[in-house]
Amino acid sequence: MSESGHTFAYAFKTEHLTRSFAGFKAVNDITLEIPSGGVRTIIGPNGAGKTTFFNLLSGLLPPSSGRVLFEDRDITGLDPYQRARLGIARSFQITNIFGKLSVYENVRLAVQSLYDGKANFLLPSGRMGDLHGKAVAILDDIGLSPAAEALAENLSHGDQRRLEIGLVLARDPAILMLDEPTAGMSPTETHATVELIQRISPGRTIMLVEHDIDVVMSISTTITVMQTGQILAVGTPEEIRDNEAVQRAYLGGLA
Amino acid sequence: MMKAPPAAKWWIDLGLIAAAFAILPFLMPGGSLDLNPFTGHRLPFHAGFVDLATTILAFSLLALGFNLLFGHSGELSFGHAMFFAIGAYVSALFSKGFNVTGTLCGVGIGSLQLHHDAVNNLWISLILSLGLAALSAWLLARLIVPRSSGIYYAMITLASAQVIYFLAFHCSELSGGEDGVQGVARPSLPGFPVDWLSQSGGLHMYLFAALITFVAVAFNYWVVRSPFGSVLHALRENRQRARFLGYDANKYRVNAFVLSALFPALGGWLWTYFQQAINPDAGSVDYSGRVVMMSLLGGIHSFVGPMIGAFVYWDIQNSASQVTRFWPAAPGAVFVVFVLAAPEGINGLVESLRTALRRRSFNETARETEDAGGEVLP
Ligand SMILES: Nc1ncnc2c1ncn2[C@@H]1O[C@H](COP(=O)(O)OP(=O)(O)OP(=O)(O)O)[C@@H](O)[C@H]1O
Ligand SMILES: [Mg+2]
Repeated sequence: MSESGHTFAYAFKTEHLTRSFAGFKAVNDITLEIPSGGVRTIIGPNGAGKTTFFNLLSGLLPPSSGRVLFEDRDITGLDPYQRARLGIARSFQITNIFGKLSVYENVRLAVQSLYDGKANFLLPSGRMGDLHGKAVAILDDIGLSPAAEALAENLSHGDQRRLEIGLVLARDPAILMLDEPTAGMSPTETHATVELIQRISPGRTIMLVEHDIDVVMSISTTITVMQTGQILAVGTPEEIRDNEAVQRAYLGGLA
Repeated sequence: MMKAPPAAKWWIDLGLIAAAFAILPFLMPGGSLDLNPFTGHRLPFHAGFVDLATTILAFSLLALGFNLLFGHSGELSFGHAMFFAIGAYVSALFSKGFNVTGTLCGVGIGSLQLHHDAVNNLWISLILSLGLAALSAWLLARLIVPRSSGIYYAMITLASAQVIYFLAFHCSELSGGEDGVQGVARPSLPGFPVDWLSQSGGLHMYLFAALITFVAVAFNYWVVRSPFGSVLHALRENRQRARFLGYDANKYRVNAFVLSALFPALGGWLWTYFQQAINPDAGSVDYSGRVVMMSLLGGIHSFVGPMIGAFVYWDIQNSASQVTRFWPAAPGAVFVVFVLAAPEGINGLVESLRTALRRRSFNETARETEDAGGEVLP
């Protein structure tokens, strides 16, 4: 497990983080600390800016203004691969895997990224640490060993989402950002995925965007509520459930 | 569709390629005969057709380099012949020597010269060809890789090849202009059982080219199966995902570009000593385009596809030239048919036939085993 998980007070810190699309502020001046460790869930109605916020933290998009700090360094200008090497891993709302490669090759590539930077066109693929062993361990962890030989694109939707979690686990990241990991899953698959998330959460920070309110209430350490590009509230599941502004804006009849 | 090459044993694959190189001259039937370089006996080869086999090898190298980018990394270079030209011109000028005083391409340079007798060594020429091709590829890749992708990448490589072509054409003080460099001597190769290069070409040249090409093929094969090759496949399939896994995608793209330039440069180097002359055509859009056709014709998602494509391309062109004066259109026509009917090329066609056959025999075995109440093994 990651060493860095608890040595810093916060995992991410944002300062006046803003991202506009043609004048529309999808993320609007967010200043926020995401504490280290635990499951930090972001909820909010469709279009609230949750995915855009993830994109700014993971480096998919540059911000229009503001800064992103990871642990104690400014990472605003870093490329996604550099953030990945710092220990930031993310999955996407729309499944993002290597569809035309086998499930095994997907995971093996994710593990191999740890050994990047060597003159690896001269290396036989067998001589690069225990790629195979690590890949097999991850496949076991996400329960996809029986499907190892299949092309990733031929997996069921739920298995593809789990495969993506396997990919982001490969570097043993300090921060795991999961954008709606249970979207489109059956109740059984959702249950298995929640279990998986709980199993992998010790020693790292999990950031979760999730719509399934039962999942949110059961696994979150804290919940951040977003609305129209801004933070509406932050608190424990109980605090959020009892928060009137949140009830009015978002949870409505659920509480 | 975009499966990685099926995992066969490497010695089988390379053994088959070596065997193909050994019989290639026999696939070029003809009239007059060539001499066995070892015994001096006449062999059933038409000298001209043996030369066609050598041509195929040189273009196989061009196609292999191109396909390292296109088939394996998913990036289309429309100007790969520029590295063929660089390899060819560097070796020609090195072997022949040059003497330029005053201006080169309108730029005052004082005096630039190299005497032919100084060093006409085949291997120094090889190192210079590969080195300069790699250096120019690296500079170009550093410039275009971070800034372009897809069609823009293709167009910038095309434009860069045009620049090389233009230089070869217009810096005639050095390059010989439209006529190119003529009368390049083949250095002798002491220590080899046959005096490969100082003979008049034909089978001697072919055997030498086949040996060199085979080494390059084996290297290319190694590269695409190395961890580096796996990352290229990942970039081809989903560059964004690869970056988010921690791969410095642009570093890989630059390295792939440099590696892919070595093979055409080697082809150009062979071409120079084979033709004993070189002209700007070597870097033309025509050559760059042909190699795209060859690769697609053979199948870009298989290792041997581009080489098969080079063979079929030249064979079609050559056969057609004996029956119709419209022969230059023949490879193009076949290409169109293939792109429409078999987008995975000749190799893809063969593969799907094999899969179909295997499936049929598998189904039959399955039925038989079922009847016998046994288990079906995969
Ligand atoms: N690349 C983009 N270009 C233009 N507009 C965008 C872009 N990305 C997001 N937006 C807009 O920004 C707003 C926030 O989108 P975002 O995807 O961050 O919302 P979300 O909270 O993740 O919603 P959902 O729950 O539906 O996933 C939306 O109005 C969306 O249309
Ligand atoms: Mg979203």
